[in-house]
Amino acid sequence: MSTRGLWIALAAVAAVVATAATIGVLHSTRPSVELEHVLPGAPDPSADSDLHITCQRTLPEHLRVTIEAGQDFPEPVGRVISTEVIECPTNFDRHHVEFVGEVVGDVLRRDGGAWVLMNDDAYALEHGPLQAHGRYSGGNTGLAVWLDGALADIADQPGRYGVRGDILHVTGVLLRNDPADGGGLTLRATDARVVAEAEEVRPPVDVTQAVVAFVLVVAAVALAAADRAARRRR
Amino acid sequence: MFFRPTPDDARLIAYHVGQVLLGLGLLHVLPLVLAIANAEWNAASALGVGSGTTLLVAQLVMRGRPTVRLDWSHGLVIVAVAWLSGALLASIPLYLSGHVASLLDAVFEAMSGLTTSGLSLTQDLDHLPLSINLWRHLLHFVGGQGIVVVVISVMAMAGTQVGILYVGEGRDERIAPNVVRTARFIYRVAGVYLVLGTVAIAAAVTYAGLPAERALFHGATLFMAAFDTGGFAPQSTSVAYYHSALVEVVLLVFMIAGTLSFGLHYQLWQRRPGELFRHLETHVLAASTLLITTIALVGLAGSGAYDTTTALFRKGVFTVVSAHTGTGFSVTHPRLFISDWGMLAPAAVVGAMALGGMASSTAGGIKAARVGITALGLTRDVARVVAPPDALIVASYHSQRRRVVTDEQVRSAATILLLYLLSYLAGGLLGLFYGYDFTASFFESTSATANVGLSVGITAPGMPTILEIVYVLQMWLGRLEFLTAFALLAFLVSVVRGRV
Repeated sequence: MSTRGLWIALAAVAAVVATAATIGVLHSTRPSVELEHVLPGAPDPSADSDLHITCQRTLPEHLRVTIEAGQDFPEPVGRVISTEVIECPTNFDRHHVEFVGEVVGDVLRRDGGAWVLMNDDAYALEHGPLQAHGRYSGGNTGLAVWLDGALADIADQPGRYGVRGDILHVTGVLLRNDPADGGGLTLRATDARVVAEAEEVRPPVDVTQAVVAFVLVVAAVALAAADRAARRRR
Repeated sequence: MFFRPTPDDARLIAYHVGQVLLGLGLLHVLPLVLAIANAEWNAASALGVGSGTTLLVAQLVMRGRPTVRLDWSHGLVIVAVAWLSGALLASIPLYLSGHVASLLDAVFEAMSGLTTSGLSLTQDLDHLPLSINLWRHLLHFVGGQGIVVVVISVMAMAGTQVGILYVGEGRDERIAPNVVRTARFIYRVAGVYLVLGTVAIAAAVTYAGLPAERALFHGATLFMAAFDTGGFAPQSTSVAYYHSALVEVVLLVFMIAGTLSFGLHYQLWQRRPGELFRHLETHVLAASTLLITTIALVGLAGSGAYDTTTALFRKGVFTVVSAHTGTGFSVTHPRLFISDWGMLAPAAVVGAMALGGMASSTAGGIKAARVGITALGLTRDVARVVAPPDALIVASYHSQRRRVVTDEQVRSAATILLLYLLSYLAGGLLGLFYGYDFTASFFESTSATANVGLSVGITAPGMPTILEIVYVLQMWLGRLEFLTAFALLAFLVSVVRGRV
């Protein structure tokens, strides 16, 4: 490699490092907003061993239920979290349980009720949406919940960008393969109540990032204009 | 060029890479407009930083008109470098969105988008700004059509040997007589399908209960992921989010359309549907899909995962087609593949992912053409052994016309097939090294190399760094079908040494 080529390569490496450093600084200095409170009224299941149902504990067979119109459901066997239900769906199949989570995305209204996705990850029940606070807690995790009839009207503000959605406490029957959902793992709600209303969580505008973006775009446009002018002169 | 690369060769390569990056930089404008419309101000500035950086880099590397003639070796290196640099620069808005924890995670996400893999390290996807979500899916769209083909078709220069860049993309078929016209045809097909697909999927999700004001976004993003066999989805539960057989059927149509080669699309466009039924790859895909689906359904029935035949078929067929087309949409939670599906059904899904779709399509994997040619070569060679010495044994297949299987074709197909198998094995062994179980390790490795995107949970924030880097390389190698990467390696070696 020639000396000139070596200098070009070094300059390219320096430019890449400088770009990465700038982007890293922008990433780390993002403004954030803390939610004033963690979800009230819904205990963290991992903190209470009586509520924590695990794959190692087999729930009594006689407590499994079948869903029939007008039936009275037994008391829920306890509160479940989505990760353990997904890890051992057979253990929880057809048990009447409690579940707490944030409604996210959309309320899919049809067939006299609504499907909702309820997440019970840290973004839902602890810190709030990621862009507000920057605390990385992995991916989303939750359960698909069917809200029948009037229950479907309970959730009216799902979570999405800038909004932590309604937090619901749902009681219902877990179905390992719900025939109404083509065999999907679902929770068919028998009761639901709002534990916390939706709230806005938009972070403040990152002025530094906006200025850097403006400068870069202007520089790119200016360079293109200068090149075009130079080509015309030639 | 490999023997004594000169500064002129480097200038030529940089110039054409710059053209690709120019297109990528301008692509940021679409989600930027959405960000401004939705008042997603931080996402807008993140896209602005990404666009500005990409456009500046593109213009800087394009300085100095090339003086040497573009040849085969240049083309291969340009494609390899364009994909790598494209992923690096496309990662900027993803990293600045705050939804990926590290620059490596952002590069992983961008590479997954551009290679139409669909494996994701985005955190809190359900609260992601719409504009950043659109950016992820746009990467599928342009990656699927080939970022090189995009720029060349839009900014085609008279006299440039653009065909070389085209073949380096892993597409072996010349569809139209002129390569630039071929590239433009690809975009025309994609454009028509984009409009039809967005409308059809938007209608299906609206029928499923999605509010009308959200249907267009879901329609467009799901189409881009389906037709480009990518697999990203607007929400964290993928296609299971909609709880709708209609949505699944509509997406199946576009996934299958995406796995058809562009040569077949051209024949259909020219009103020659008979080609679809005579084509070698159609026969191979039909046979493999039928066989693998049967195995998967037997496995699911044995595992007891589903009580009803409807559920068995709906979950099983969709998952196998999603895997075989290389799309990666899921109607089942990823962990259920391991916790509830037994052993046989996940193994069938791995087989489907490994084989892949048609060559010259947006799909990944070994490809039906190679499987078919290798199988024909094998049967021909066996027939030659058992036949009388003076017998003439010829194997042939149909691809636009009758073609005889040659030894060179069989060797080429078998070489790439072997490289894919080695990549699946390497990634799987590394997964085992990190303590993941056998099924999960090989499932994830195959998904990465074959650019599918189905995951059993290994691909997650916090995964081992080395494994993450290996998956990035597997996705890149798989999309470019290896030889382009070897060309880049040879070029780098020759630059350092001054000769090969």
